[in-house]
Amino acid sequence: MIEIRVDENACNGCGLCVKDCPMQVYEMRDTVPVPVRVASCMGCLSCHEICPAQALEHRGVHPSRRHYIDIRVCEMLNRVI
Amino acid sequence: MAEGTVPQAKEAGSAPTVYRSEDVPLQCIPPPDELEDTLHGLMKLNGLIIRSLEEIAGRGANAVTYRAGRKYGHEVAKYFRKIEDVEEALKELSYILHGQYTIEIWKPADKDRYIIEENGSTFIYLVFHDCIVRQTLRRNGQPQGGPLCLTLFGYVVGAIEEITGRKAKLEIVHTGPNACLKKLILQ
Amino acid sequence: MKIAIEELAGCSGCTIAVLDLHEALLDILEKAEIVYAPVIMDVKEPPEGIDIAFVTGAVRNRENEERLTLIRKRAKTLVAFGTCACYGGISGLSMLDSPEHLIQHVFRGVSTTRPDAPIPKDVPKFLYRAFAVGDLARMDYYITGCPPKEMYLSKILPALIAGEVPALSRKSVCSECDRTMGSVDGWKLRRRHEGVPDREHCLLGQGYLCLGAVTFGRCGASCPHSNVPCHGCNGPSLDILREPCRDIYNMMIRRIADLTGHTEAEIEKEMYDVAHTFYPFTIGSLIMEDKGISKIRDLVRERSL
Repeated sequence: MIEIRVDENACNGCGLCVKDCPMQVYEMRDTVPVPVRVASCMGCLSCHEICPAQALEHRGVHPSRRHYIDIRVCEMLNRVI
Repeated sequence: MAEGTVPQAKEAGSAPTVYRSEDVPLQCIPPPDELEDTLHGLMKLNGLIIRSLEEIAGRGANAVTYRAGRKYGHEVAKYFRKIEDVEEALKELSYILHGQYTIEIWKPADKDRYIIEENGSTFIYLVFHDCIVRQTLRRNGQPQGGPLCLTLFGYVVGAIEEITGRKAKLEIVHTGPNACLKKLILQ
Repeated sequence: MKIAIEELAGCSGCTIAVLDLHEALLDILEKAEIVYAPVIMDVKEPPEGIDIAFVTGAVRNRENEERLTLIRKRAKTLVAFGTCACYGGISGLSMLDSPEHLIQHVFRGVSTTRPDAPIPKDVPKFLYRAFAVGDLARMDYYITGCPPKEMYLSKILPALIAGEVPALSRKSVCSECDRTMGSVDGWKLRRRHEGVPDREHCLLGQGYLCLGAVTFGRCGASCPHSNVPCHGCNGPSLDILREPCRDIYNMMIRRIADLTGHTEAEIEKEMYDVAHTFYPFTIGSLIMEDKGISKIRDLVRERSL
């Protein structure tokens, strides 16, 4: 089961996730997006890509392979404090 | 970056390997950075070829990749028994390429069956999770949904045709960073 | 515990940022001894057996390269400290000009020099390009910032000295900013000197080029807080660093296009001086340059020849 959480402290109410989602999972309510149709989410994570504040969290989504990322980039990412 | 040149290695006499043709390969699991070089090199090569193909052939590039995908689909499906039910055929198909292409038969929350009839067409939603094409395109910074994605169109259509005998079309609904949504439209 | 702060091609602001801890520095000094820090101490060479060394500044000339190799040998843990070390930073901007032209300008071309002033010969030679330190040596940690901000250093440094890594938020500047999105009707690019920004609403939505969306956080969004658009001094946000198809320029254009409803082509037409508005802190980082969609290599070639 997919679960979506919105970090309201991080979110700035830009509404880009609402616009970009192909399945209209989100709805803007009082400057914060609320996932109203979670069962329609197919885990494309376009909302993660467009969110300027990384305010979205998904659970239960199949993490697709990303072998196109260099090992040295992964190493740097793991070492950023 | 190369560790050393071939003349240097010969000079150093450092290669501990005796090449007998029956003993090659010497390592079952190549080191990750070597695998990465090959993998990323292939992705770059594929991306460049498809970009040049598009620049020269325009929409003809779609025809080329579709045909390539269809051949692959037919090949893979030859070893299948004949299955009438499209859903079952898709399940078996997604099992074969799992990892390279992980295909999920999906339905939105408000529908109770996978086969959906809407506006006069009958279709099934397919979600492509893992996808080598997406990995290649994202490595090169190329947009998704182009001719390379159409190889999958050809693949699914060709395989379904071979297994079930039914004609089909694939339509890309949405491309995303982690999964893509496509419609398999049955005729 | 012995710590060191090496200075390569930098402004020494990062060493001063450590001093910026004020009284908290005394707590650190109880547990650790600074054995080498050229900006603030007279010790000339890094001694053996350093536990944690912070290297600041980018690698721009032969001496920087040698000092980096030396400090890597002499330290158990090496931390790239500051945006110049992590991504090339301001020192990387030197790549937008050729070394010969830079030297001519600095020694002969500014208002305080004579056109026939001598050019020093006994100085370390420029490398052909700038490097982030991570491109030349293995780093154990990266702390970005121009300079790293005291309110986060006060959490990070004591933790590192105690042998731990603090778990801090790894989101972008937008996540730390207290503005909300206002109306984006009639969006047009506004340069920093045009108009006075509305304090409450998103600067990007008002037309300013605020790079907060594509910049790593850890500054409490101080600039937007002071009504100034973010300039990206903490380096790229982690999701941009990770994906080869994402870059500071293309993600900004895409977000502005999605926000305002204009096409990406229309928005790109309004952009100016991409090197200084989008990439001021990331020229010199091989990771950022190697992305196929990055404009850095073209800009450097265009400007330095």
